Amino acid sequence: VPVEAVTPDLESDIVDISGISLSALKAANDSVLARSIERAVRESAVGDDVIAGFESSI
Amino acid sequence: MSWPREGVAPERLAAAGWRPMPFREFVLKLYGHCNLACDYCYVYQLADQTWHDKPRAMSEEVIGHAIRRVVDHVELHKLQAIRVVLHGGEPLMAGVAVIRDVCMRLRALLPDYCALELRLQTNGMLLTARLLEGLADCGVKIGVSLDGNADDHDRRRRSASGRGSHTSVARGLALLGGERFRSMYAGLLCVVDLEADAVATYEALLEFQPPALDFLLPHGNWDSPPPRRGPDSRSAPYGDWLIEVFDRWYGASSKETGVRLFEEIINMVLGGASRSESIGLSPVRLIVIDTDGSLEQVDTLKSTFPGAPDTGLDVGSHDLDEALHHPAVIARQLGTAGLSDDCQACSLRNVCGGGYYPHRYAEATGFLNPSVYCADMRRLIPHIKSRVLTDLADLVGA
Repeated sequence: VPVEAVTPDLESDIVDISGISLSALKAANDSVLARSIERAVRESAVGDDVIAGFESSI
Repeated sequence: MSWPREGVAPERLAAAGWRPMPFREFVLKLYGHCNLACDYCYVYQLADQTWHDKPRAMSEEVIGHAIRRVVDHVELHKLQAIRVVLHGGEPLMAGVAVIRDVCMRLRALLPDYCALELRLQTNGMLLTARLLEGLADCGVKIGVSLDGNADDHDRRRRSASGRGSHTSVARGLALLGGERFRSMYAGLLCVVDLEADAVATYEALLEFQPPALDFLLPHGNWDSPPPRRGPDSRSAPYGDWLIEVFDRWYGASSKETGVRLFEEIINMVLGGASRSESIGLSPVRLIVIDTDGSLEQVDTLKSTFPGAPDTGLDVGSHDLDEALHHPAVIARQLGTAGLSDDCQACSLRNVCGGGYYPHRYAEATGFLNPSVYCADMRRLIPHIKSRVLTDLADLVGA
C-alpha cells in the first residue's frame, strides 16, 4: 500500500510496529527505506507463509 | 562425513515431531540445452556434466507427469499458492506452443483455491514480438539475464562461436519493457563480475527499466573458489562491489527498482523474513524437474560435484512427497539446525542464513560450512544494517 493510500487502521499498525509516524514516513517520500518499511509492515500484518524463492529466476 | 547425505536422519527427525513443509515452487526444465555458452554457466561449464546425457527437451509424456504431480501435490496439501518457473537451458527453445500448453494445462488443472504464479527465465535471445504475443494471455512473467553494459555482458555471455549476445538481448528487452508487453516483464538477473564497474553495471541494467533485479554471486565453493575469492577472510571483493551498488541504489531520492538481495537483507533487518534462497533462514520449498523427469534439488548444486542435485526420484514413478523426505531437501528446511557450528555462533546468522547453499560446499565436510562468500557477507550485511538503522533512527526521531 503506498503511503498516500494508508488507511487509519494501517496507520496505527505502522506506528505500533515501527514506532514511525505516518508524517515521518511521508517525509521519506518514495525512498528505498520508506518502501522497505511499508513492506515489513504489510508482511507482518498479513503473516503469510514465507518461502525462500529460487535464486535463478526473478 | 558428507553432510547432509550422511548426518540428516529423516526417521529421527520424524520421531522428534519434525515434519517437512510441502513444496511451493516447481522449476520445470522445459529445454535442457542453450543457444549461449556463458563461461560461468552452472549447467554446462562447472562440475556436473550430466546435461550431455539428458534429453534436449522435456517430452510430452514427462510434461504430463510433471503437471499431474504438481497438481496432486497441491491437492494433497491444500496449497493456496504456488509458483512454477519455466527454466532451462533456454526455455524459449521449447517453442511457444509447448510453453503455452504447459501454462494453460496448469491453469486448467489446478484447483480454484490455488493461486498460480508463472515465471519464465530466459537469456533473452529469442524474445520477439511474435513470441511475446503468443504468450501474452498465459499470465507468465518473464525474467531476463543481463550482465550490465555491452562490453561487460559480452565478456561472459557469448554464443558457442564466441559472438556476444548483448545486441540481441537488448532488442528483446526493448520489446518486453515497452508498453505493449510490460505487464509480462518480471525483471533482470545479473551475475556479479569484479572486472566490471559496480555502479556502471547497475546503471546499465536500469536503462531497461526493470521492475526488479537481482545480483547473483558467481558459483563457487571452498574446493573451487570463485574468481578473486581466496581464503583470506580480510578480503571481501564481492562485498565491496555489492556495497558500491547498494549505496547507489539506496541513496536514490526515489526508489528506482527493486534489488532482491538488498531488499531481503533490509526486510530481515526490519524484523521480517527473506523470500530468497540465497539469504536468510526461510525454508526452501522448491523442487526441480529436469527434462528427463528426474526430481532434483536446486540445480545450481551442479556447480559443486557431479550428481549433486540428484534425489534418485522421477515424476514418472514417484510423487513429490517422496522427495520431501530426502536428506538434502530436509537440510534446507531446518533453519539454524542446518548450519555449521561457525554459522550458528555468528551474530549475522539470522540475516545471512549461512549463505547460499551451493557456496558452502567442501568435499571433506559436504555443506556443513559457512559460505565461501562469508567474508563478503560479513562486510555487506553490517553495512546495510548500519545505513538502514541510522536512517530509521532519524525517522523515529522526526
